Amino acid sequence: MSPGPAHRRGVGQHVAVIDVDDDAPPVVLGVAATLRRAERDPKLSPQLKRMKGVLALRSSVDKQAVTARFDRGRVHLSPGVAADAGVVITLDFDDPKAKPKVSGAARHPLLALGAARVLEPPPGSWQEEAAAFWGFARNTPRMPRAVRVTCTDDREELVLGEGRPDYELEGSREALVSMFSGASIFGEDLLNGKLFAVGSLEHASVFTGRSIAWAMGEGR
Amino acid sequence: MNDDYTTVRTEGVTPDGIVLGKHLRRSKFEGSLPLGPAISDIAFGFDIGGTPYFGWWGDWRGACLGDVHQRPDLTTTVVGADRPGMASVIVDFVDVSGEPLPVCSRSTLRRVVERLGRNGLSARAAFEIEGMVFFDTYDEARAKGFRDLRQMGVSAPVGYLTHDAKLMTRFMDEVVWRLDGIGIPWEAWSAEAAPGQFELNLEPADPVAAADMTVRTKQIVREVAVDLGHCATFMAKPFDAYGNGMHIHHSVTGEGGSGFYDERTADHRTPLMRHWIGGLMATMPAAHSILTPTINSYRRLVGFVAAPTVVSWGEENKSAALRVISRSAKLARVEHRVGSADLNPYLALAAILAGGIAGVEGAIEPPDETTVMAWGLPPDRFPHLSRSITAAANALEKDKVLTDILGAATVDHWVNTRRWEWLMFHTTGGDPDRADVSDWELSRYFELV
Repeated sequence: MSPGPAHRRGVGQHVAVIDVDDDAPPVVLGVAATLRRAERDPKLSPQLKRMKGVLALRSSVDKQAVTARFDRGRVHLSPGVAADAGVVITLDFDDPKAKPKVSGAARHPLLALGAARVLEPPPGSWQEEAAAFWGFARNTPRMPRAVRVTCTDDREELVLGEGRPDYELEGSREALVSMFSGASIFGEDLLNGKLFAVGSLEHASVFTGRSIAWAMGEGR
Repeated sequence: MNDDYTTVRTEGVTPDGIVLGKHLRRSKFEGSLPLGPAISDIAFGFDIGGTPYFGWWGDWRGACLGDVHQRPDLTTTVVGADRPGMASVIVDFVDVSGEPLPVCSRSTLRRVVERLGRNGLSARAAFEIEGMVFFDTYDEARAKGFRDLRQMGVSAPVGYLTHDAKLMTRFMDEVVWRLDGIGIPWEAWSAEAAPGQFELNLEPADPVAAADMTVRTKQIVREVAVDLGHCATFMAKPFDAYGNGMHIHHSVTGEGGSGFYDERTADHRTPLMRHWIGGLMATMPAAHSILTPTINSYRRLVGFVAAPTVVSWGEENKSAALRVISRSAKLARVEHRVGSADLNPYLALAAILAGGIAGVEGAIEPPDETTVMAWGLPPDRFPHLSRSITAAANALEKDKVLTDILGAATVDHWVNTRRWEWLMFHTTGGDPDRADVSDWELSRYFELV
């Protein structure tokens, strides 16, 4: 659960550089993590490298906001809505189903269309996302030794870790993908009834800490 | 303990500096000894806004919520003149086997004092308590979102103004009467620069007693406010223009008397004092996290208004973070000026003494003294105090020396809770773009810190 130092990636010919300042707020780290997922997607990476312009995302429910400056492969993210943002998207960061309000798309259609793609990189299957998360979180002290994950849509199971599972987790495919991909936070999903768990409060707490860190881009 | 009471109120302080306790029938209280009454460990599992902490875990917590105990320090039992029949007693938080919890700040301070003792030293400390008082009741203040309150003072931004003090005399008379009633030796109070702001000084005492008295004094100020139909706050920066600090004076004594003063040296400082300052300076970026604990604390750290902004020390320099006084054996001390009024007195003093101990044990030499005004200095040449709760928490996490003295579990919990505070500010309605104090801060801190 650490905001950590500046998240900088090395400059390379074939990768976009996504850059945030030290002490960036959660929304900036979260959007940076999303863009890094897009960068790793072979279909979205070229798109990211073509984009140019200033785009802002603003929460419809609180004061969180982030400005992304795209410059053909280099993206700098900063908190707030910059005055020169060509496209401003107002959305509920916690509710991906809520319809966003977009302004400036008519004047900057390429930027708006590009953003719509790179800000929603297609997730993998829930098993792929779960495996990626587990690779990040498994060695954290006090994490469960092994987790049995059950998709309630089809009762398909996956065991993360080794040995007898000491934690069980279940939810819909959509909920599992959301949490394991970092789009939502485990503890919140548990409190909101999107996910269910069988295990100790200790494991729930530590699992949530890793989930927060994952959502803010740690480990990727 | 005298026999003039039928009820006992326990008083224990969480890392956030909030006082938790129970009111117990005397027979129930006495039956709970020596461990003291139990409370759920979840009391330490919530943040100051009432949201459960998620993200880390401590050994002291039960797997599915357990009990911890409030072990009373019976030497602190008092019966206030304003509440006959009720005794108050300060407690340490311990587990079911009686071991102090890492989240028990008072136990942390005691542990640090013991380490100081192993170096052949003892300390005395005194807190300068600043707060603000308003004519509004707490109910009225809540209804107004803690803004546009009627300050108990004149508008002129002048400290020590006696006719400003006159406006709060009835309030402060009641405060000091209650302090006298439970034996807290106050020295002085005065109107401070902000409208409705006071400063109250307590006599020096041994570290744990000094922190106990500070906690109780803040409690009394709040209780007087309730009883007289007013409200008070110890927020570091409740309004844009003025802040509340909590400067901490301390001195150290060895076998030969003052550990800080030597009349034979040119600067009248002992080698011990030099190393003590060296340790305080080396650990200041980390201790900063504990001395300025909330999102709001960092708003106070602006230049030219009494709060320090640079990691600095200087003889009789009130613009520096450490004001060193070497005038005489009697007065020789260090005034640590970084702390804000919302700090936890036990943890803050523990962090300061730990810094001094680090200096003594490591024979740390201090950097150059700041003999100029320590505000407005260029940051590339003078290290500035960090301006965010996360930067300070990161510095504390990295400071292995301070962590060793304070205790790894204590520091781990603290650092995690500061990062949580940052997360809550940004994701539950805080307004990072707002230049002045946000509604989120007022709602979260005004009544509690």
